[in-house]
Amino acid sequence: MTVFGRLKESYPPVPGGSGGQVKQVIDADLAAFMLHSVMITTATRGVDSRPAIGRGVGLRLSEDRSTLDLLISRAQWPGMTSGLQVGAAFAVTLSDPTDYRTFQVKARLAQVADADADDVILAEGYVRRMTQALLDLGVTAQQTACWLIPRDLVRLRLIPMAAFRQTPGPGAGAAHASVGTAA
Amino acid sequence: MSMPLRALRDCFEGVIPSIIATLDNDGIPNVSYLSQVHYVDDEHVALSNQFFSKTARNVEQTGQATVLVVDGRTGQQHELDLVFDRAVQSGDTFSRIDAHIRATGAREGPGVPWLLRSADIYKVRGVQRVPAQPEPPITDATGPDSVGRLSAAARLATRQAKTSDPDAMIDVMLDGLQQELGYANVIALLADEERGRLTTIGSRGYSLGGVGSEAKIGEGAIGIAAASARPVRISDMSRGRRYAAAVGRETGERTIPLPGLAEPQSQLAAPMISNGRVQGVLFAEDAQRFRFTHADEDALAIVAFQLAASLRLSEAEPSGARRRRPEIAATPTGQPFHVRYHGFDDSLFIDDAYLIKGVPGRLLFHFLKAYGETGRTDFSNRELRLDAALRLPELKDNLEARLILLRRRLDEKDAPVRITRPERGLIHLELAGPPRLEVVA
Repeated sequence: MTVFGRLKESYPPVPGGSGGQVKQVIDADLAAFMLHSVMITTATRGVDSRPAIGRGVGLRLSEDRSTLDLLISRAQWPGMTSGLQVGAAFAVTLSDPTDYRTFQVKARLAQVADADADDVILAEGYVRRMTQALLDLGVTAQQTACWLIPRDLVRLRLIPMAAFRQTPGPGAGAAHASVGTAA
Repeated sequence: MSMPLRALRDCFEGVIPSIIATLDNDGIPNVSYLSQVHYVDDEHVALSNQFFSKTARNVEQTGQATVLVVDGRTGQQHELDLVFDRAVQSGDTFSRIDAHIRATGAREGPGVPWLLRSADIYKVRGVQRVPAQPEPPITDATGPDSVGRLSAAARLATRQAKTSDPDAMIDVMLDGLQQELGYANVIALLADEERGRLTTIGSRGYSLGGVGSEAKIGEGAIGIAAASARPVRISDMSRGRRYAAAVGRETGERTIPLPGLAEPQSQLAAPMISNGRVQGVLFAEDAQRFRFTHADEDALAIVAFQLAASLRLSEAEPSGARRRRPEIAATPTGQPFHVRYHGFDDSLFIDDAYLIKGVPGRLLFHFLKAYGETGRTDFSNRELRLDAALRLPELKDNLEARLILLRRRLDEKDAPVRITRPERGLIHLELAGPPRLEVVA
């Protein structure tokens, strides 16, 4: 992954810094997609160097879409949320369960913090909307309760580096947008 | 490993998509959905190698993956720590996964080829239960009903074993599947290899009997069970899967609708195998999700084998079967009826209504033609087997079954010609009126 190789050297990126123009990884379309009811799954390298998995329970984009806050339950995903270090690589997959439209965002961890009151409100709203969307698809309330737990939350502030389309079918894996790729 | 993989079997039904996470050599993660994780044994799982190339490349580099599997009943999640073991392109595990993918249409999405190239076997290094609140009820997928299913299969096998008449065997089986195993909707079909079809010989629980209706070998749960010679069990046909699992239903002038539920959620199909050949399929379906367990799959497979063997044995000619002196029957006095026979597919129409095609159609035409030429109404299995004009090479194996099929279809249609079996190995033609034959090429 040359994208990350290059970025490692200049991490943390300096917005508008000497490296030239920072391209927008999350464009308006992707932002709109991410913020409606999509399932959020994430992976990083765990403390044991194995891939660790988690399900997010809420997303927030900064105004300029250069950072992405991901809320995740520490109690539910200890392998994913313990021993995190700034700079860690993350993959975040967003999938609409109604049509399987899926995107994957590659990102770097910029900050880890306990969720504040706003975060909790965001997560509870997400879980409420997502649960309804899943119930509409025939999933049971008991099932969704297993997946979406808005408690003991940690906020991961991520810097998106690249986005890929992952919707099943031809074109899966194609780059949606990434830092450093030719226009 | 904290719990045996066997206890997680409801996670391996493909009902809720699994998630796979991998790392590349630089530790960059990748996470994507996976339609299904397949149970191999208590230490191994298999992943159908249909996923995205990034995942494949990462596994190639690091040999490991973390997979999140979800119990389709309760929603409980488990994290599996996997180490790549080997890829298989053939063998039992491969065929089982291939059959399941075909039957469920569990490909990753529209436009993605569903042909399974290889199945990747992973050793499961650890299983971690993902905390949930409230914790879902623990289900034991090995099933408290395993013993119950075994007893039910034994009772059904006993009923079957007491039957000597092949016609009764089929009814005993269908009734027994309802009464002993509690399956509301069941179909028995016989394989017609010559035409690549399975033909319904009996059903229970549907508004239409559907005798003579067909499923294509290789399509749908029924067709895949026949083509792969292994049971197919589907626990949840919701969402986009119903299109594939819908049992290869055909429409057209020369077809009879296959019995079927409007919205099945669970399907179970077991091949009737005897002497190394698939003779037919027993099928059950239900509107409820997770209706059939692994124990049901085993139970249906056992009784299907028994039915196949029993039907096959009944094909054996009774030694020295008495050949009745052919009698010339009195000319029937009822209304004449019109019979149209199409040689190209052996389809037969009575008064312009489709009756049947294939071997049973050929047989009925043979009887009616012989009646028209000589007035004969009595025939024997033996002469049919020897009659080269009938072009029935495979009949030595399943003539009796075809005659049962024909008799049932004529009865179901309330046709003006019927066949009865005065004694074993003999066929008697009963006519309500004189037939007028028309042959179309």
